Amino acid sequence: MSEGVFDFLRAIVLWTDRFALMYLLLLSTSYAILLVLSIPELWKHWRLAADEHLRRLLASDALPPLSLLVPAHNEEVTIASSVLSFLTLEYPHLEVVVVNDGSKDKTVEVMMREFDLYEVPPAFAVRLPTKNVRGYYRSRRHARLVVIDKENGGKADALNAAMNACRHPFVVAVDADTLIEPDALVRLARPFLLGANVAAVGGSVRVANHCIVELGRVREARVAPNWIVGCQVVEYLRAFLFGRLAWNMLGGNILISGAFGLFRKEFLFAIGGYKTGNVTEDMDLCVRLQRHLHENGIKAELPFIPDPVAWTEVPSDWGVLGRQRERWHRGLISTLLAHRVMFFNPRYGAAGMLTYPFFLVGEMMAPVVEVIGWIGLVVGLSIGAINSQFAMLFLVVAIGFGTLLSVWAIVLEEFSFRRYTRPRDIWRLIGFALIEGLGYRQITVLYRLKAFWNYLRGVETWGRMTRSGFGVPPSSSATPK
Amino acid sequence: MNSAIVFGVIAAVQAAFLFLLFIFLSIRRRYDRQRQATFMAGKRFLAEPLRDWVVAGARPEALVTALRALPPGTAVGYLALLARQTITIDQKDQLAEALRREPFIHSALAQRHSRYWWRRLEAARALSIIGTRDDQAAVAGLLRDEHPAVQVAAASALPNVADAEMLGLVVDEIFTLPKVVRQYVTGILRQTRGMAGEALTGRIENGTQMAELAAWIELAASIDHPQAIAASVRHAAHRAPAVRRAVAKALSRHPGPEAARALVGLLKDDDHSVRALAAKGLGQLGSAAAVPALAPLLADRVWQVRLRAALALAQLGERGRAALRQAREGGDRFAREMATMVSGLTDGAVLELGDS
Repeated sequence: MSEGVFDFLRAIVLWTDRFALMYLLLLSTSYAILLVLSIPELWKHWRLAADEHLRRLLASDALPPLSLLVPAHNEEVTIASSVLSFLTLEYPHLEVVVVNDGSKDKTVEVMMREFDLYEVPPAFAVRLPTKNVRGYYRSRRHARLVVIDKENGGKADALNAAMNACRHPFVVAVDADTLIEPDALVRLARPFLLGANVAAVGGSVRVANHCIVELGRVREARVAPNWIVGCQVVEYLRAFLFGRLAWNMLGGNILISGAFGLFRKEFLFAIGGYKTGNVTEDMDLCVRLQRHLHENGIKAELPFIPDPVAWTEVPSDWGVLGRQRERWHRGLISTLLAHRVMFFNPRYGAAGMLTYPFFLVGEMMAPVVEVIGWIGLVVGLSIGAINSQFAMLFLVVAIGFGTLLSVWAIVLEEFSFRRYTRPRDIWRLIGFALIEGLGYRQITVLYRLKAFWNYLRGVETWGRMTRSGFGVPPSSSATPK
Repeated sequence: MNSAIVFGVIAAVQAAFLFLLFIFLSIRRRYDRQRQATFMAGKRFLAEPLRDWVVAGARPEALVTALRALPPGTAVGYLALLARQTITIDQKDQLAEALRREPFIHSALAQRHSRYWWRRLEAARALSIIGTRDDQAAVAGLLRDEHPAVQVAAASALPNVADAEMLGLVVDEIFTLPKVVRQYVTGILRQTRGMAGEALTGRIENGTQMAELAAWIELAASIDHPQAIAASVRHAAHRAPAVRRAVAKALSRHPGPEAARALVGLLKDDDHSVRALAAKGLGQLGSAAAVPALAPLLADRVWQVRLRAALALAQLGERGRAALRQAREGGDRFAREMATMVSGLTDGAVLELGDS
């Protein structure tokens, strides 16, 4: 290699590493700010969650009537127990609308049998277009249950069908296999009780794998020893315990989890409901909602509150995890690019000036910069452009910062809501926080990188997701069932 | 300074911070276990004097001594719980008397102007058990607090503290309170139904302003005061839909021909929510005479009204069911569909849906 080419390569490597370094510092600073901002928010919610008087409002008329929207696709094994657990949630005015989204198994037959359903005419105005509905059903025994049987159109389409049919002004979208804590809906309605003008409220989602589940409820939270699952537990804690809380403080939340979020129905109708074709319909919905509120001068918040908890099963093998992460990132790219008008646009307040740029630079572009950084580091080391001491320190700082954030999230959990009561689960979490940066994170970066390629190819599929169900017995210690 | 040194410093700071977090995690559970043990010991210590006081009619001094051993915040929280238990007024007065000299109560009361809401909450909780008529100003101030949790706790003090004049003030301001506080105050006013009802009746009879009137009528219905509810009939034709809605809701708790007549009149209201509430009310009153007025609403242009009318008919015995059967075979598609849907429900399901 000639001297000139070598110098050129060396200069590129050095600039690449400087760029990665600057990016790391910028991102670290942003996370540190989010971390600091999350503390007073968590403190506030912890005090509120512990308040006796508010907890006594369970049977109160002050709680707004809610419709629980449950899209179901091939859920014949779990649908009966899931629906029964939804119907027995502690909430005074609750309607459950289950949508069978073209299941190929016996989901509808199981519900017909278990809930004594009979077909009814629609008897309401259809405001959102959906795939053909085959029938509407009510239960003779559970007056608050409505079942819709429709052709397959995806989750967003099923949620739109449920919104057409539901009666109440507030809707909570959940997945059919989500386990909701008995008092979670009351907690989720807290901002309404406290007089806030809210368009939507997000609750926490936790990992249910390896937890002890009885009668559709998590009886004891546990951390799975499987490192793929364990690292995800840490990720979920990090995402929900300080990321979203800090965005609350800044007033620009643009993400409410599709597995557990409450929305004011009139706003969802105003923005045309869920958008079919988007693989992360939850984020797309929140961004459109933020835009709608700002563009129409409506002063309403989208707060996240940490103590209402829903539990979900996460992937326990690389194949499913990879498809999920690729889909999430593809959805993120698609949503952010579709709403690029928000980028540093003061018209959209904190959502446009802070949250959107952060998601674009800090979330969407992160895998690209990370891979560039890794390549730069390896090439730099091999051609001697950077010394090994610098490389080692760079790695220690980069991985150390991620570890620090994860441990901080565990500390917040331990200090506030403490769902994991066994000390061994906390130490297990710390163990996963320490090893997350040594392989797991790098592999998920590759999946997220693949999302760019699939986005450019116009891929719009969800990818096959498999679930193994809940209910690990206490004696089980290996991989979650 | 070269970049290696910068990285070295950052790495050292990270390591130190991580170490601190580990230390925190290690001691946190131990500290909590100790605190929990102290709390449980205090509660156990509390059980005997509490039983002696509540069941055997002993003086409350031993209970106060036991409370003194608890951490101040816990003791006040425990008292707030006790205030809501079924203890007699005499017992409550005795306990309040014994507590008034307690330093932990004084320090809690002194927090009522604190900038932190949880400290003001402690003051409001203390007042809920030891408050007297002399504390009206303090309770009124806390009722206007910016934090709903404090307002709710202050409302618990009202039965001890409020006289007719103060209840009148609470009734006057109730529509300014957040919904949850309003709900809680309503629950408290139910305990003083006589005084609160009198204050409400006069205000409903003479009220003209939409927000106040609607809130007062809703309050009259919630505390179930017959005279105050009856006074709302005169506002059945009020220009504001919010008032007419409140009237329709209130009259559903007021059995009698006058209420049924007014509700039948409201079935023709321009506002669909008033029509729906009037239909719901007639179903709840079991007013079979209203069947001819309800049946046409099965073809109303708004589906919520059709649903409420159908549910009401299903609740009105054979005459109502006959009207539903007729609608199922009738020419109007909307009436046919709604009647079909409701006819399939069991009586229990109709009641459940009708009440929701």
